[in-house]
Amino acid sequence: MEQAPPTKPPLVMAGGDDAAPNRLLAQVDLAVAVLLACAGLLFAIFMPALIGAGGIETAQDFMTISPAFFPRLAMGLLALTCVPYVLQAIRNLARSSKRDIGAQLIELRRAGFMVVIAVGYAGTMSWLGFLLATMLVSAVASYFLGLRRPLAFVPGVILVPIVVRFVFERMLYIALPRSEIEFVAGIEDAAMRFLVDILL
Amino acid sequence: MFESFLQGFELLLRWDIYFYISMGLVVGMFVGAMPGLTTVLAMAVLLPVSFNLEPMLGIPFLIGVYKGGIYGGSISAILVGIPGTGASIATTFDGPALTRQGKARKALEMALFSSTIADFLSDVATLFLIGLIAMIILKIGPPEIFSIIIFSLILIASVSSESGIRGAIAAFLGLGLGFIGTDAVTGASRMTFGIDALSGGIPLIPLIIGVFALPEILEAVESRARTFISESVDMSSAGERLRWYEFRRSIRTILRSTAIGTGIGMVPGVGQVVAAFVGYSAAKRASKTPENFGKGELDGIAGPEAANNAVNGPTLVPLLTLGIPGDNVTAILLGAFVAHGIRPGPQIFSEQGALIYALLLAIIIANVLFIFLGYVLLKPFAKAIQLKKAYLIPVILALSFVGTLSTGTTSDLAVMVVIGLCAYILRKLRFDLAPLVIAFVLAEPIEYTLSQSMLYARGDIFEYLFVQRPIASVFLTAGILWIAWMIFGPWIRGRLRQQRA
Repeated sequence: MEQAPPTKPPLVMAGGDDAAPNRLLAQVDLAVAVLLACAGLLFAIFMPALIGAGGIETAQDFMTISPAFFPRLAMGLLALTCVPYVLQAIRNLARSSKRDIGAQLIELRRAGFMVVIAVGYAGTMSWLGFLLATMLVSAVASYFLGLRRPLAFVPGVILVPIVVRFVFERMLYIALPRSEIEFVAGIEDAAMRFLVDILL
Repeated sequence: MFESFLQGFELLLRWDIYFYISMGLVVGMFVGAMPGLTTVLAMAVLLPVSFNLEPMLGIPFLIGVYKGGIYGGSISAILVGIPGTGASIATTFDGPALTRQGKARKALEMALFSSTIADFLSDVATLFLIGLIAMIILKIGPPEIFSIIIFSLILIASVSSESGIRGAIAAFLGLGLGFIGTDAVTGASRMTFGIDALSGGIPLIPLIIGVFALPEILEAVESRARTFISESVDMSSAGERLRWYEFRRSIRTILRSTAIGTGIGMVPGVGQVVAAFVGYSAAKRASKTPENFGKGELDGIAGPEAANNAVNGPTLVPLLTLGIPGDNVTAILLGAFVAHGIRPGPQIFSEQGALIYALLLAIIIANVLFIFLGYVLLKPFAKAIQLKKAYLIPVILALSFVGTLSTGTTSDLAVMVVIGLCAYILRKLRFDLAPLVIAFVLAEPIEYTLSQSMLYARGDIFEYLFVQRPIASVFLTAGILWIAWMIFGPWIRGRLRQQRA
């Protein structure tokens, strides 16, 4: 299984390690363990209520197992597997230390900022359109990642979305959202027409 | 079968196939060389590109990304001791030592030649074995396929995460997500919570991009260093080229590691990382100078690099013959096959034999291109590892969103972001999410084959599976024994240690 290899010593999390786990991650670990155990149990119990009416009723009569059987089994086994996970998480929390919490918080804050960017990108794409949304997000992300001189990132911020849109929309026929703002949509169309005239 | 093989050969007589393979190799090598960015990320982001190409172009393109990425990982491993991908961790044992001795060029060339030769040989083995295995699998029915899928899933879940429990949880989560939507057997809707968008189930592409791409972007942002690595790379002091006599000394190691990688590749869930370590330790054990390992030994590069690249072809065996993806890369490839209307499974060679043989032959030919491109691009990619993150991350983010939009539904963006955020949290807690994606794609076959088995059984399903179907019985018993070993193994080992003490 390919995983990104660590480029720095990882903050210790899971059981099995001799070093004390990081307190913050141990707390998140326990919360996730409890959440998954409860969700698995609740889904397993109430699964029949989550099966909608309809489908092929003759098939449902003919089959010896109901449509709820497999999801219920999977969720029940999830709840069961979460029991040792919860115990392991409690053990980890008990022997966790506050070491590296500051560094961990900084890392999470950075990732959190990127999540906000991603959510904003997803939320504004159908309104602003692919080009403008991508330009704005690229500019914010580039600045956040340390580029300060406009000449270093503005050409990329403008050119990359145009090239991506042209390649995906005109060459690979994947439709990307057009802006709901007519003025912006007009500029997008003009840019694409210009590239089509030159290149295709 | 031979007729399909010849027809497949005819399909290869076009230049654009080689163009797309080359593109894939270049992109893969570039991404693989960047510490923190993985081949899986590149494949997940570029998967939608392949949809709009015909299968003979799109799938070799992705396989090119895969092959290039695994090799690309060795560039930063050798030059600065930071593996570009997990598969090249073992290469860091001797690579940086050789670089310090002024033999970086020799090490990089040894990595290239051992990678491509091993890849080529294992691909040839795959080509000849895969048809045979498919013919055997055609003789078996739903109970056997069900039991093989269950056994593979147990194996994947237990070996992928650092703890078997986390692997199992990821697999059950994947199954749960896979059951959302319309039941394939009875047509009833399940767990849709009244949301129409979920009636067709969670789409595969946003799930793949959410699980593999978004967490990597977030992890790359966590350490906001300006470049991917802080070490300086000076290729002007890379030293001499690899000499023939040096390469000849490593041929035996390359062949041994090829056999190791080929064997490991056919087992679902084990993958390149394990193969590389086994290849390295086998090379060290067989060496006349084992004391040189870790201090700058060319065999220490050839062993792991040949082993991890030899895994590439054979991982296609369980994927193509049974529809079981053995790891996250083959899970993405399965998405590409399905999107192109190719349903991997025992029937694939009788239904689309020519196309599959053409793809396998293209994979073999890709190795020849790989040698040329790898040789030419060694220096530029060695310099590229010092690229600033700020240039690449926004592009990868945009491509992830474009990839998700390729499904044609804007609401899939929300699915991708939510799944990506959950995947990021799980990865922070040391979950390997490959079992989640693999279980997600296997949820429907598991349900379907067990439903069919229950119809055949006409009564006691346990008696039917364990007594009347010996092959199914073997796989299910092996799965149960494996779980028992996972649970009680540490306790038994502890008791034995106590007794010995």
